[in-house]
Amino acid sequence: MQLDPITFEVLRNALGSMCDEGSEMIARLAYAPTISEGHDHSCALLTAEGRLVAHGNRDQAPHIGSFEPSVKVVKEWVGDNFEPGDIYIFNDPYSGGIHCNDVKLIRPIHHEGRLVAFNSSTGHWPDVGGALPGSFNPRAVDCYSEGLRMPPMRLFHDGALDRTVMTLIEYNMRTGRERIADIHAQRRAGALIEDRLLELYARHGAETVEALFEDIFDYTEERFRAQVSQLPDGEYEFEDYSDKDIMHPDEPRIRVHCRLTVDGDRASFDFRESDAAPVGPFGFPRASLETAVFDGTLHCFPQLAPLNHGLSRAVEVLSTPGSCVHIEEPTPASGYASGAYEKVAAVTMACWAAAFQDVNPARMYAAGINLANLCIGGVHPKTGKHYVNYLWNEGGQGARSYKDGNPFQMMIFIGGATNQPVEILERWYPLLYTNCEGVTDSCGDGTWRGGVGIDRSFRTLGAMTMTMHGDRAEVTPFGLAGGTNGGPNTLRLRRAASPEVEEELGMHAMGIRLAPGDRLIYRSNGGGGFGDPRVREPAAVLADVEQGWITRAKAERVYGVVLAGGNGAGDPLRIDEAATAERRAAAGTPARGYGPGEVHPLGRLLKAPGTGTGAQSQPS
Amino acid sequence: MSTAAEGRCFVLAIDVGGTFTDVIRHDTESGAVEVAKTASTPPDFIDGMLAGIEAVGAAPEAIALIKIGTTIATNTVIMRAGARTALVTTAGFTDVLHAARAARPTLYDSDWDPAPALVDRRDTMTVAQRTTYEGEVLEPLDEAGLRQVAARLRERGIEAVAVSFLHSYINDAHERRAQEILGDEMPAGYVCRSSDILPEIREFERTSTTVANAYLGPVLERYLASLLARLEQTGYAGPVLITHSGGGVMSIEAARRIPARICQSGPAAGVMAGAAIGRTADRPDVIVLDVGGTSADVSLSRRGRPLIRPEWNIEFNIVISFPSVDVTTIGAGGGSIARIDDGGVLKVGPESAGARPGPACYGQGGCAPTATDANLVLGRLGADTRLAGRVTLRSGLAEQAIDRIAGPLGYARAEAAAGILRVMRANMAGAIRLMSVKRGHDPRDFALVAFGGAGPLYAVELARELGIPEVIVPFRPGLGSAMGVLHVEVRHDFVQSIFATDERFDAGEINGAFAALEDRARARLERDGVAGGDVVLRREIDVRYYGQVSGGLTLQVGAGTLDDDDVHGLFRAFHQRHTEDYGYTLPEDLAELEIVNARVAAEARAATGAAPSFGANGAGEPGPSGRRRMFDETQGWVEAAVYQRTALPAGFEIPGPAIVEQLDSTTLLVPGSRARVDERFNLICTSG
Repeated sequence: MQLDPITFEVLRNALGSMCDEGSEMIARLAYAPTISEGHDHSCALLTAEGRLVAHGNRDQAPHIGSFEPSVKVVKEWVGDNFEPGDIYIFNDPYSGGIHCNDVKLIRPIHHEGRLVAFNSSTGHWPDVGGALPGSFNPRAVDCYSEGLRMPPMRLFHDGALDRTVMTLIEYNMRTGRERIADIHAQRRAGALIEDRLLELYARHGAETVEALFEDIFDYTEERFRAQVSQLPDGEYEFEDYSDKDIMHPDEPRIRVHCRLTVDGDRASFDFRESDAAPVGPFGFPRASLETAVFDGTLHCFPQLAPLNHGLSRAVEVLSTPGSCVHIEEPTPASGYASGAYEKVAAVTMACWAAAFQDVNPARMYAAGINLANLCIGGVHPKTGKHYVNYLWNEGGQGARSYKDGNPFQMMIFIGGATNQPVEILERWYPLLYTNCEGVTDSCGDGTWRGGVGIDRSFRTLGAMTMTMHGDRAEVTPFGLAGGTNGGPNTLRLRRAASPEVEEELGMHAMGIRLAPGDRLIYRSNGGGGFGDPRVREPAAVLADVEQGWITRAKAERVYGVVLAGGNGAGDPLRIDEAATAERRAAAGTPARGYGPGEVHPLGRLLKAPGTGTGAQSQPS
Repeated sequence: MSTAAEGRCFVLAIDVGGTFTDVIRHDTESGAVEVAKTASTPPDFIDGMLAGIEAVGAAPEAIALIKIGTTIATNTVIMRAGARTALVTTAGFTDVLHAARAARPTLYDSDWDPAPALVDRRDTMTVAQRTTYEGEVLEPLDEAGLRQVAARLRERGIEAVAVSFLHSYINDAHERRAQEILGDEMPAGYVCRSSDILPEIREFERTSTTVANAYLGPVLERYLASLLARLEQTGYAGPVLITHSGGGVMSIEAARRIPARICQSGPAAGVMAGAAIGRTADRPDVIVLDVGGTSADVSLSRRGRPLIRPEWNIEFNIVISFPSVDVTTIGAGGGSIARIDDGGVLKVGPESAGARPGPACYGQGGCAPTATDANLVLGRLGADTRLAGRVTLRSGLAEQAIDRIAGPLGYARAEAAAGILRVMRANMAGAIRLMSVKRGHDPRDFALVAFGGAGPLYAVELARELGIPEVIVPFRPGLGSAMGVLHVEVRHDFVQSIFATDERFDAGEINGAFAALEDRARARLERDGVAGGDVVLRREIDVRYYGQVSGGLTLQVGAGTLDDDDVHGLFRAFHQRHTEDYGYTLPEDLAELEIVNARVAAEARAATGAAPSFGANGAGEPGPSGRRRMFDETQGWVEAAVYQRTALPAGFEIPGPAIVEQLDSTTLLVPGSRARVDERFNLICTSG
């Protein structure tokens, strides 16, 4: 390191907090509810070469890894012609990563006439055009029905907004005019970061600040390599699947396969055995593959967060162009998050779990809830106004190798987001909720169990059109070391006209017309379990039943814990020790498979800490 | 408010902390002040308070008013020492409380767990009933079912019940009825309902606040009743006011009804102290730094008033949605421990050696290097300093502790100790930036008020780093919070939603909203013993671009009836402020403005008696009492003059490097800085 450790710590914190300030500024000024309510935005600082230095602490992980490739594209486009007061807008998924809704503003920062850094921010715009309101399109066959793709365009020159570019945007998306507010919000955040950075230049000098950038990368890379070198050399393999190829539901599920090679202090992720990209939306471009690998990696190396270029320097990622984790134009990208992104982050963490199991088993995490985006649109019967909104669910976190997963968590890859209050939703949209309640028994089971998912079912109070875009209704969040897979994401419909009939809508329902009084049963994944459920402490199983997380029947069937009592006051629930011992001795192993309650065929091979193996029987 | 009546001329301000209870006796006729510090006496803290009252020589018949700041409510929630509480909510909605907002504090941390809710999930009961967002009853309250629930809660020994139904903020009929039934069925129980505690939209925040209130209810009920009874036994039956989270005081009766409002009573006192110190030193815009043994509180005051935020998070996922002083607490205090992480980087805090074992130099068995050890090694604290008047510091132990990290860092001892202090200051500077810059305030426009035992040790260097021109160290830095209690007045905040835009508004509706809020405000103040000309009302209005969900600006509104021109004037003021703060306004077709809330802040007029005067100075010899070597970051070891604070007369000037010592704190003046004693005996330091 060039700087002394103290200056390093002080200045590094300064860079992080300027990004936090920028992100907060965006939320305060934006119009898009996806940004101001959903917090779906990020703000970062990069070097003049386009290397990521810092980002906001409550930003969205999928955005963060796309900053480097995006700035790279803009640099190729602009060459040496960046001028102070210029701001570029850009959102092409294939070169920059993620999807068209995530619109980036990129600002060059000059010090004494020299280009020294870039600020880039991303905001998830609520609509960027395309076939459907919201631009999510579960039946897209190409990117041309997913909204406006923007190459780097100079949106501001010398501080002034370019009318042609702005009008192009307005002409091509729903409520496009309102995006001026979001552009100003992102621009203002960039101005703030420029001011803060230049203050550091003025106080500490260019040499110190630029040495700091290099030190941050070295520090992260060295610490990462040092930790990797303590892991046993070898190959660690994992795979997971989508529910189906939406456009070809009869074909096999889409496979995401990852092989982690640890060799000394080097880590390499090879995804070349993953399936070819399907026709419909599932996959993501190469830049997002790297982001998802970094995301999963940081969960296993949390002391290395926040993400910066030092980590990207230390991790190799291999993929085949045209595969589902490396799509090319015009394969659709809008549904990447619940598709490839969630799978890659989860299998990355599972590969690390395998590498860590003999060294630090406290880095082993089963998979948790995945996204199920429910878009509704229509005319409000009371106000006569058009509305569009997204609904999403929190759900069960995967079990940790040393404790249970929590219920009611956002997906691990959108940690900065929150749920939406029922009372707010009912006020603005014609909905009447019937539930906000944990789904009993939805957890994956294990020595440590996953968190349960949530039931946020509702009735409609007006006619509307709905679209669902999600995954993990059939292939559910996997357990590890003999823990079972969690419960499914589900969406079912009971029509007001025939309430006794329950229709399974699944995770790729598009353009369903709903009548007033129809009821949507909308439930989320429970997290996967860890370790053999039959060795879970019986007292913990008893507490799970008392808390309502699992039923008595499940306690007996899966955990082999037989309870007695529970018939009112004076007869508390208690463990029947003898029956439990007998039951546990006689219990069989759960079936292998990818669905709820089954044991993931690769996941079961991992060892639970302190035992020879997770599954009680040896791998065959 | 007027307090001096019939020979009762003393106002007592009492701050009950975890370790010490401070009492200030203010004679409102002469301005004379007496202070006392006694040991706090948990669990009920009352003996310590009474001892303090006796120690300041306040006979009950001479006391006009007692004001108290207490951490008892804060500690009850933080230590999880509240009542076993149940929640009764709408059928189907068991997990509104337990899901909270499903948010996480950081991005990459699969190890993080939300704090357990204050109500166990098994004690979360549901009952059939449903009301719509417009207040229409879709399903009646299942009274028989509720009585069965009550029977189960009785069996379980539940002491307190929170009732929170969907949309009860607009129609409270079911909650009222449920409260009656539960009151009948559980006569010994404490029952509160969300429509009474926080009648606002957003089910999680309303429920969480109501649950916290129920959780505190029985504990505070017992405490406050016993406090009044004990005071009465001493012969005092006059008014007793308690500081609340919003930076005011309220009556004991109000605190018994809504105990969740006094959750931030302790920190609020410190925040109010900073604002008051700034006002008395004619610096209405101040950043306040209060550094104790384990943590530093940072707050900000503009035009003499602290920033208030709409809620307080007990834990990341547990919220009390009452206006609360905006204070950032970080783990940076005298006992903060320094260590080297696995990447070779020096970290300080948030772990603290606390009061036991305390810093290594206390000689109580602690061996980890702390900030206090670093200050001692660098001569910033004197070896003969007696922190808080008790412990004698031992340099040898501090040196050994610092050497534990100096070696691995490859530093000399002094460099390592200076490094610890730099990291500490960086953490404090981060908190100050969070409170100022992040909220759009430039620290260079503020003075820094520093108190608490350790605040004045860091303040001058911090000010220099942040470009803050002046530091104010009050005469008694160790009494900070009690000073705040002394200066705090009855204050309540009221808010009402308005649905209006700049294209469609009705000035009559806005006037009506303000009038209704002001009626409520006057009624509330009257219950707290404030009436007529002593009531001060201030109006504000929240305006934002139609389409912004969480942004917007709060604008001051004058008194009197608003006409259409006045309302348009508000919109013009919005555009001007927006341009000033953010550098743009939106194009006209997008720039529809929305009025969101009318706000009224109601306060009692400040006491009219003689201002408190701490002036016992100038008694001794004002010149240096000695000299000692002190380590300065840029100049290395320098010779610093040591002054005794109580000997310094008004107008006295001190050039740095110097150290100003007093019983409860030490002020450090680095080379190039200066200090002057003002006429109220504040030390006004310029960082140079």
